[in-house]
Amino acid sequence: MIASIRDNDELQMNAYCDGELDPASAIEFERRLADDESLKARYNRLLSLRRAVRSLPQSEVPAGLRARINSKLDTDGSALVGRPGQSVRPSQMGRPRQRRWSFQA
Amino acid sequence: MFDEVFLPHMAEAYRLARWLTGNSYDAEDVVQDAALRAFRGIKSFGAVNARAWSLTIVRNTAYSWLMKNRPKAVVFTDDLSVAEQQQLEHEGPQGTRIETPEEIALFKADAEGVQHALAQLPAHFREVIVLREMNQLNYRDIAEITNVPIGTVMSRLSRGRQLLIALLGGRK
Repeated sequence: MIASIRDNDELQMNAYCDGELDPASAIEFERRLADDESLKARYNRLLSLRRAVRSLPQSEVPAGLRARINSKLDTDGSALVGRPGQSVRPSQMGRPRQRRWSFQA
Repeated sequence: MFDEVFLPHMAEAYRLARWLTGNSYDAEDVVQDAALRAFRGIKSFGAVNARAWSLTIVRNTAYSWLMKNRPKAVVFTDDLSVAEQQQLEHEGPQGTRIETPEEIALFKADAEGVQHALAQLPAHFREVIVLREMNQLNYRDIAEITNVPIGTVMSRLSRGRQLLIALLGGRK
């Protein structure tokens, strides 16, 4: 909870919108919101922006990504314990695109 | 332990990587790289906040990947001109002019426009908005992931949203 931002309308408005104001500050902000048409208009615009951003299509994890990660981890885990003959070829990655991914994390 | 710590947050990890890199192919590379980093560094996990720990690795991996492969694609606020920084950090995109309620009501947005505007934001603003709006993290977790104080998170969220509104409303 954030209580010490009363000197800045924008920060307070954002924190209220995000549910990050402490209860006393939230009540005070709601009082101001009821009395200040300009503040209310800005807050409504902020809510509109939030709705617009949150309604964007969410990227789903591509099919096969988990399997590719597990494959990499199996290979890496094998390498870490020093098991020979566990290298993976690019052709086994299952994606028709040259990878720039490196073991050098 | 890795399976319980990192893998449950794969969807959020991919979403963050997708927004930071700008496309699905690069996001896959980043998530795979991050998974391996997490796997190798699982002993450093403090068993406190698996979600923040995992997304921190994804975020840092994304920036490392971008700096290595597409350095021109990464624009931080530090890279902006002095005038641009001042506008974003101190004045906001609308400057100090007070808008009328009628002007404020002009805001309108369609999905394509919002997506384009969000992609245009400097990385530091874009990442906090994605973490807050897409992943619905609280300020404390966003601060932990982005390694800045909560006050900076608040400032970046506020400025990032103002900039988005300005971009969508054509008032840059």
